[in-house]
Amino acid sequence: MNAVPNMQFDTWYPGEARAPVVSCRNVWKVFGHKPVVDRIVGELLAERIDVECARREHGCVVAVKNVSFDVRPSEVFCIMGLSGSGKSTLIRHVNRLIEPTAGDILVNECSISALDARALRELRARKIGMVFQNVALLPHRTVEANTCLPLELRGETGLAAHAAVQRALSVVGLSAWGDRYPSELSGGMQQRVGLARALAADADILLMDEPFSALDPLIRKQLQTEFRRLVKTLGKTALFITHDLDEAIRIGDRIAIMRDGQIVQTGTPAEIVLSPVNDYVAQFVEGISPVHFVDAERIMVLPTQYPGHAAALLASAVPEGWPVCERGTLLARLITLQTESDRPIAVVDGGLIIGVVGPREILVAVGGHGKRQKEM
Amino acid sequence: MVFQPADSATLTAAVAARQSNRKPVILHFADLLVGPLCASARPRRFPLLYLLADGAAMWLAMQGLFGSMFLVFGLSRAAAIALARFAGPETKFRREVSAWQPWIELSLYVFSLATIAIANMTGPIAAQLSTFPSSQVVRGTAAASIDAAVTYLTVQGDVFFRIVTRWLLALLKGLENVLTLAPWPVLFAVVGFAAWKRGGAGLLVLVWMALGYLGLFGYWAEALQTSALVLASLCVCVVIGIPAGILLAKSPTSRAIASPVLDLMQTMPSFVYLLPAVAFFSIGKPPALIATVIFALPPLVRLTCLGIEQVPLHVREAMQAHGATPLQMLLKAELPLALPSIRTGINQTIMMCLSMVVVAALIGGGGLGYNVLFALQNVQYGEGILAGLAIVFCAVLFDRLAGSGRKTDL
Ligand SMILES: Nc1ncnc2c1ncn2[C@@H]1O[C@H](COP(=O)(O)OP(=O)(O)OP(=O)(O)O)[C@@H](O)[C@H]1O
Ligand SMILES: [Mg+2]
Repeated sequence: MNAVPNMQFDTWYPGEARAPVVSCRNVWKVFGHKPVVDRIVGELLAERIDVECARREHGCVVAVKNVSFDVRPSEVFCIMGLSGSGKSTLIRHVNRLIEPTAGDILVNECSISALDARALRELRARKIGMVFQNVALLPHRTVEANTCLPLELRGETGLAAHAAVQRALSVVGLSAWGDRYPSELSGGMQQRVGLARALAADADILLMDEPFSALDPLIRKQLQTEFRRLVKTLGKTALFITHDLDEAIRIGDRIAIMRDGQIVQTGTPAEIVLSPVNDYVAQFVEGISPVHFVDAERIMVLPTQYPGHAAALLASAVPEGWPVCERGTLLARLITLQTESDRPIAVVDGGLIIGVVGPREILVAVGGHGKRQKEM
Repeated sequence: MVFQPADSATLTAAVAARQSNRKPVILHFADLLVGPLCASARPRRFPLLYLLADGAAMWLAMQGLFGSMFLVFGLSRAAAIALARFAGPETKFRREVSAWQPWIELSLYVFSLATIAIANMTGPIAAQLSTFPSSQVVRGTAAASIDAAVTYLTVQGDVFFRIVTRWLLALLKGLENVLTLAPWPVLFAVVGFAAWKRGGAGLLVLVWMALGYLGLFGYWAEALQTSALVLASLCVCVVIGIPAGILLAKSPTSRAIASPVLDLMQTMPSFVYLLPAVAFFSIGKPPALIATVIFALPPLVRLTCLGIEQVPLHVREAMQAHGATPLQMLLKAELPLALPSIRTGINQTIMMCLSMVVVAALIGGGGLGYNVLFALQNVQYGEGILAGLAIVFCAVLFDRLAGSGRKTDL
């Protein structure tokens, strides 16, 4: 981490200093006839043939293409992308439901491709919980029995397990439905059972494949808040797939945008919204209001660069009538301060003025993506 | 060999537009020569055209009209090229074929043509070609060696077969005793109650009518014997069939081996089982049971296997993702979900057991089958039909009570 706060997007992530919990290193996944895949994978990796060619000439689908990312402890890492961009395929690698064609996945700094069947089962049963996009409940079991499944599979069936199940069901608001069968539930309710099942397992790492996609806006928002709170209070780490940017921004610490099997940008919500790397990402973030997640530090300019008052500001004397705010004050509040006082806002930290937010900065932040980096 | 468009003006604008972003049509050298064989491997290469044209060319050659033959042959190839152009290249990517395949196809084609041509001429070679050389010696030897093997096994496995016989007999006797122990009013009451629980008053009436027929026409004891045989066979079938079905679903190798065996068991005329059954277990009920089991086992194995294979992928994934062991996967997901299929299998097996009853009577299976057999041997139409009806009613009882019960439960 850079000590000097001069970088535009120098943000501190929880747990950044510690080793990543999940890390993907150059993961590739090619679907297709096995011998054909084996034959062309070398060519693909060396970029002698491209994805389109692999599909047309060899009938292979490159679902994940050279993806690397780290998920840090206690972080909610969102993966976003359009339908078919390989999100589900990617997340299935993390608990090795799918074997990578090339590359490696580390969980707690230990390569999972090296695990034998028993160790892998142990890892899945205790460390990694998963919510499936297609819900994947067992139709012959009641809601309660479904929720209990992970506990039952690792041999916990006592009162404690029962209590855990009840707790998980109450989090998702389905306590009263414990003895129903999945077929008697609506799609959204089934999805919540899937979520309860993952929560009951009480795993450290949660893999969530579009867990809220079938929920109505009200419950969805409620569960998003609840989920983030749970993850943060219990110190869990989550990989969260969604194709709703609002959702990603609301619950994600960082967001990775996927396209055609590749990650095109990784960053905090503010980074993604304020400086999309290309037009594809820009299209995604269009219409997203930054007021609730962009803070003063991100948009301020250094005192020295603020015309007219540099000398006073350097001396840490706030000019008369200027409101002050903290590093982390959100844009929404800054707008209020600005409109009330009609003056620039001084950003102070520990008695020092570290920056200034003027009307221009606010307008640029709200009005769109003035600072978009040009495509590389 | 790549055929470039000979004259693009002849193609309609639509076709040209369709093809403009595609690769040129590729016809293999072998495609042209081999025609039907190659075409059969590539679905859109007009196999019928080739076949008709080659047949006609052949016939012309037989008549000695070689000029016409070449004309037909050439025209058919030209038409094929034109049609292939028109239809565009295959949209599906080509199967991976080895470099040898076209040449093997070519040799096969030439060989077939040549042989047909020679066989249609006259002379000693033609005579040789038109009938397959058969050999009584081969068949005789094969049959004799099977006989020898059976004899050998009978002698060597004597102890084993006797133990199996004893167990099967015990099972049969036990079931028979249980069934005959109960006086008929008790059976009426118990079976009636079961029917009422399953299907209400309608089924109750049906079941009582069936039982009444069996009792009134004096088939009661035989029907009980038959039921005991069927139930015993069913027990053996379930004990063997369900694990076998699970094994088949789990291991492709075992499926590859077992599939033809199951086919054999099902298609071999059931009488053929009687001979080895008698050879190994002598006459009586145990061999009848064995023959019945062999005949009735395949559907249960198949349907168990099918039921397990049909467990949705996402259920398996969910189980795996939560760390299920293979055994947990089987007991907590696969078997419960395969249950409807297994039930159908059991139902099928019962029906097949019943249909084997008459045949089993030939080797002393007894029961209703014996009544039918006796009537047949003595040309007693009335007796035969009544005994046949008794078997039908037994089948109705079993089917309604054991098999297709409540359709809704899962
Ligand atoms: N088992 C498979 N066999 C072959 N191809 C597959 C398989 N699973 C996925 N794919 C292909 O991989 C690509 C990515 O699929 P994936 O399910 O990961 O998309 P996704 O990003 O999760 O989409 P969605 O948002 O619709 O869930 C798709 O083109 C799909 O056709
Ligand atoms: Mg998906």
